[in-house]
Order: sequence, then structure tokens, then C-alpha cells
Amino acid sequence: MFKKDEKTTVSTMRFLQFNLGGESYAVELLKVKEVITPPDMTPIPKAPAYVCGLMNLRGLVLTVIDLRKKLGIAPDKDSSQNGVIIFDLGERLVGVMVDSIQKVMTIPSDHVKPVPDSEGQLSAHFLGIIQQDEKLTMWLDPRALLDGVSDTRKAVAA
Amino acid sequence: MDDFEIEIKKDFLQEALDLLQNAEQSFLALEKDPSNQTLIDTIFRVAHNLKGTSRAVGFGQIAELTHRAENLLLEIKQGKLIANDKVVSVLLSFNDKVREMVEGLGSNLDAQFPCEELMVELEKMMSGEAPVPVDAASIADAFETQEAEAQSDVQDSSFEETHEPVMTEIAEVYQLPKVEKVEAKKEAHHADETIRVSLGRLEKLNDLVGELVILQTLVESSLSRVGENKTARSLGKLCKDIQDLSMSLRMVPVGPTFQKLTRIVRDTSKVLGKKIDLRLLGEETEIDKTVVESLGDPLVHIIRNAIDHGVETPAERMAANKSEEGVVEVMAFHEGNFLVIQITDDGKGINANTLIEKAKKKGIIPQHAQLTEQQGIELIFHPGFSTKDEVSEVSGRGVGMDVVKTNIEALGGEVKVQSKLGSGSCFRLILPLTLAIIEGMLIESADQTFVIPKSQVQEVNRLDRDQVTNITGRVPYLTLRNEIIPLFHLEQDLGLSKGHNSLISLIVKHGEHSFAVGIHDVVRLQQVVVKPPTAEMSGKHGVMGTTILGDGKPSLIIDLLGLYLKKVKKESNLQNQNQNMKAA
Repeated sequence: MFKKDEKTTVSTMRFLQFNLGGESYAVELLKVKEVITPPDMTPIPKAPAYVCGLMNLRGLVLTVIDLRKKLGIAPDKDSSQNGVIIFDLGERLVGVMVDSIQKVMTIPSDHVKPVPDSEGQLSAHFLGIIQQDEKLTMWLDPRALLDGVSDTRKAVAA
Repeated sequence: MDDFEIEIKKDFLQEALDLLQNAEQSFLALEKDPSNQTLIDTIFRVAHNLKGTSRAVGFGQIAELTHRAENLLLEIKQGKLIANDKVVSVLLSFNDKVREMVEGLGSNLDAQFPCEELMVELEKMMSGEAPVPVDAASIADAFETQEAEAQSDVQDSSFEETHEPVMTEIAEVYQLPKVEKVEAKKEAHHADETIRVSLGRLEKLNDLVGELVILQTLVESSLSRVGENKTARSLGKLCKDIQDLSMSLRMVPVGPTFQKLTRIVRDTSKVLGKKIDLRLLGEETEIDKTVVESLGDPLVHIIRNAIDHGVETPAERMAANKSEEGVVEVMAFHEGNFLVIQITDDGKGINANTLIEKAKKKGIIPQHAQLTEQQGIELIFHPGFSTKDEVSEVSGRGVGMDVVKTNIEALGGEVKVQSKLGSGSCFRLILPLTLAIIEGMLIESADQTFVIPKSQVQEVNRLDRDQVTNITGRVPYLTLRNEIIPLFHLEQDLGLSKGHNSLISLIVKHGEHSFAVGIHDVVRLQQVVVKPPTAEMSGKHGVMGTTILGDGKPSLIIDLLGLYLKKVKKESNLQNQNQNMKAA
């Protein structure tokens, strides 16, 4: 997870940054298998609303979930859903629909801060906050999202 | 223990299981033909090999135990001891013990096993002539101590040295070619021509090839638009060949599974004092690896039953004008897309009347029930049904044939039985060749394509509104040839729409229950590759798996029985209650 940078001897971490409803999120690059454009999907009957359906990844059938719906984030005008991140969670792969893919970031590990407690239940979704220049990016825990964590933000908003 | 050590130990255990399987077969053959020198040599080589490698990888206990067995085998080899059934029994229990050890070590590499008793028994069998020192040294060492130093490698000290010690020594020192050695090497080389590949890798290969075929059809259709047909066609042919080949990699012969029956027959017939001639036919017939693994237990159940309940004692057989020895025949063959395993015995057959009476006494069927002979025979598949009055140690306590039926049905197969009183019974296990591919019925409901296993659908009918009786708050009924069965609408039950647009009804039968499922349309029949449901979907009733259709889109395989059987049973209970109330 931590990689020694030879020049500065400060350990760094690599993230993939993406957008959801105009907000900036990131996941650890090592958890990402690949990034694809949204494929044809087959809906799953009786599935929760945040499940987009099934996709075919070169012969493997994967579930794709809509991360914005899952986190209860409202769409903004640019929310076009034009990227699917394939996560490798060890024992299985899962597809996650996001609004757009930004970039790969290399961040010194001292710029990654813990999530403040005041975030409450929502902090279960996140492993930390990434500080880059003036901007903050939420470091998402892909595993926590898939373990049936409820749509907390929707509940809070309601 | 470092990784390398663990790896060679695991490799050994895998190899040892194969060796033990071979050894068991040889022991059984030896019992029938105790003077067969080639057989004795083979057994001796296997034992020697087992001892050498087990010591080399550090399983001292196995080596020690095998060493004693080897001493015993040496006496047989030298003609000092005849391999009668007592000797073979001890050798078989040795085989069992080592298998137990190997399996135990598989889960815990440091496991220890008490085996003193068996060691004593092995020694007791020895004729007592020419006592062999029982230290950890190998047989070859014991007989040719003067050469011991010339041998550097345990595995190289093969048994041939006992024949021509000097020649071997010279051959080894000067690396001269030696006829027997070359032959042995050839055999070893032949064995090396197969490699072990994990099933996971084969499945991955199948997935990729499946995808290749889909892409190929897309390429072919776009190439044909620009008139480039020939290349596309050759590519298509090639892809088909690759797909056939990759599917065939999962197929294994039923032989090894059959071989295991030899031992079961030997032990069972010994306990029961019956004489059995087991005939195995079609051992080379191939079936999917995953199917063959679940086949062993049902086969053992049927064989045990055939010997215990079917074949008579020698005295009874003589009285019935039959040969003293009962014949049990196990035959495998292909029939269309199915593998059939047929188990026939020439015993006394199944008495339908006894079964019917028993079933009535046990309250399994009502007193006034009228059953045909065939229905009576099929009662043996009923759970909790044992015909033998006393529970025997051989075929257990009434769990057996119903378990066989459940297991085979779980594999998508079926069990059939035929029997003629006085002349024997025949069980037929009909199994799909592979679980990876099923014959699917592609259907459409609410503008989505689903796959239904064809084996679940009894018939397809146009859904005529006149035949449907709607009852508020209840499942509607369909009248089909004077039979009234519940009717479900797939798109409602999958939550795809509130109403329905069903034009076709699929009739599903399971045992005594029948029901109809309304769908919009049947697209076609097609073989589909079954993939597991994704983790997010697992545990959902009614979804058997997923598949990828010809256009590359994923689709769900719907299990109609899983989706509806509970509801159907509830419905029929309600119906029965109503009838009872009316009757009262």
C-alpha cells in the first residue's frame, strides 16, 4: 500500500480519482482492475434501486452498481455516467458506475488524513480524506460499500 | 516449513492418492490371481516408490508403515507366502490406513497417526522365515548391504536390483543402458504425458473461449457486409474447434469411479457371505469432472443395496436354479446429451406388494391407495423406507435410495428403476454430460430475455383465456385437460410489472405437483453455458445462475422450481384443506 519514493524517501500512495454528482472521490489504485465505458447491462429483477444490472466482462458476469444512488448523492448537470470502474475485491469482481473518471494521483501519505468523527455513520464508507493543494478528495472504501451499508446520506437528508 | 517444502509435500500427497488407488486395484486383483508375478512386481514397485518418496519429503510414519508392508510383499514375491484373502485383507487395511494418513496430512502437514496395531498385524502375517530387520533402512539395503553406499538416491534404488545386484551396480556407476531400466523409464515417461491443471484455470479458459466465439460471430457479420466471407468462415470453424476442445478438457472417464466399486463389492459380499461377480463396462465413457465427483456416493449406495437386498445367498441361488455367484453389472454409455449408468443385478428382484404393504403400515401411503406394480417398486425412493426388517450394517437404516434420488436430481439427472420378481433389478442413472452447459429455453417477458432450463419444462401451450379461472386474492387456476393447476405469471413474480402480458404457458411438473407459468413468448431453444450468479445475487430464490447470450449480453437463468415450488405446495395444502372441510 505504501511505496517508498526513492528521491524524497517519503512514502506515497496512488489513487484513482473520479466524480460523483460534481463531488470528488478516490479509491486506492491497487483495488482497481480496470476502467471501461458503460457496457450493455441486463437488469436484475427485484434488485435494489442502486443495482444497474449485469454486465459481461470478457466472459465473466459481474454486477454493476450505481455508486451515486448507493451513496445517495444527487445528480448535477454534468452527471452523465460515463465510466465503470471494475473493482477487484479479492474473492470477486464488481463493477461501479461513476459520473466521470478524473485521473491517477500520487499522494504523499502524510497528505492522507483520517475521517473526522463528526461525519458519523457515513465515515464507514471512507478510509480517509486526501488533501491535494486546496482540494479535498474523499478516499472511498469499496468493500464497505458492497456489504449492504445503508444509504446513510439519503436517510440524513430526509 | 518453507514454501518449497510445503509444496513438495502437497505434491507428494496428491501423487500418493493415485498410487494408493492403483495399489488397491492391484491388491484386489492379486486376491483373484495370487500367483501372478507381474502383478506382484507392480505392487512391489508401487510400495517401494511410496516408501522412498514419503521418506524423501519427510513423512516418516508413512515410510515406516510402508516398509513393513513391503517386507510382507517381499515374502509374497519370493514365494514364501501365498496372497490368500487374509493377507489381502491386511494389505487392504494397510492401504486404507495410508490413505487416511495422506488425507489427514492434507489438512495438517504435521499430523501424527497411531498405527502400531497395523504394524503388528503386518508382521504377524509374515511367514517367519528369513526375518528382515525392521529398522528404517530400505529393503534393498537390507538385502544388499554391501551396495548400500553405491546408492545415492532413494528413488533410484528400484527393486530390480534384487534380481541382478551386480549388473545394476555397474549400470548405475557407469551409466550403462539396461533393458529393464529403459522399460521402466518409458513407462514413467508415458505417465508424464498428462499434466495436472486446476479446474479453476479450465473454467477461466472456457469463459474466454466463450467470449472469443461471441466476438467471432460479431466479426463474421461485419466482414460479410464487406463481402469478406471466406476468412470469417475459417475463423468461425477454428473458434468452434477450440471451443469443443476446451469443453472436452473438463471431461474425465468414469473408470476410476467404477474401480472404487470393486473394493466395495469385495467388502460387502464378504460381510454378507454372498458371492458376487462384478462386471464393469464402458469405463472409458467420459463425463464432466464436477458430475463425476458427485457420482461416487450414489453408485456405492445402489451397489450395496443390490448386494444386500438384491442378490441372494449362494444357497438360495442354488435352490432357485441360478449360478452360485450373483452377477452385478455396471455399465456406462452415452445417450444423446446424457450419460447413462446402468446397474443390473440378477438377484431376486423387488417385490412390489411387500413394499406397498410396508408403506401402508408405515402410513407413507393411505390404506385404500391403489398402486400399480411399477409405482410400488418406486416406493423404494421414498424417504424413511427400509425393507429389511433388521437394520444391517451394510445398507444402513432407510436412508439410501431416497438420498440417491435427491443427489442425482440435484445434478439435473434422474433415476429409473425396473425390476422383475425372481430375475433381478436394473437401476438407470441418467445424467447430463456436463453441468457447465444446459439445454436452455430462451423466453421473453416484460421485454427481457431469460433462460429457463429446458429440463424443467414439460410442455409449452398457448395460454387461452377461457382456460383461466381468476379468484380474487388467490392464485389463478389453469384448466389443462381436466386437470386444475395453479398459474403464475413470471413477469409479476419477478417484479417486472403489475399486470401481465402472458401469451404462452409453460407446464412444470415436479413429483406430484404441477403448475403453469405464464410468459410472453418463447424465443428459441439453445445450449447455454451456466455461470454462477454474482455474489450480490446469491441467495435469491429462483435464480439458478447467469449466462451470456449470443449477442454478448448477460442473461439470468431462472429456476422455476426454486421460484414456485413452495407456493405450489402451499396452494395444494389449501386445496386439500378445502376438500377435507367439504368432506366433513
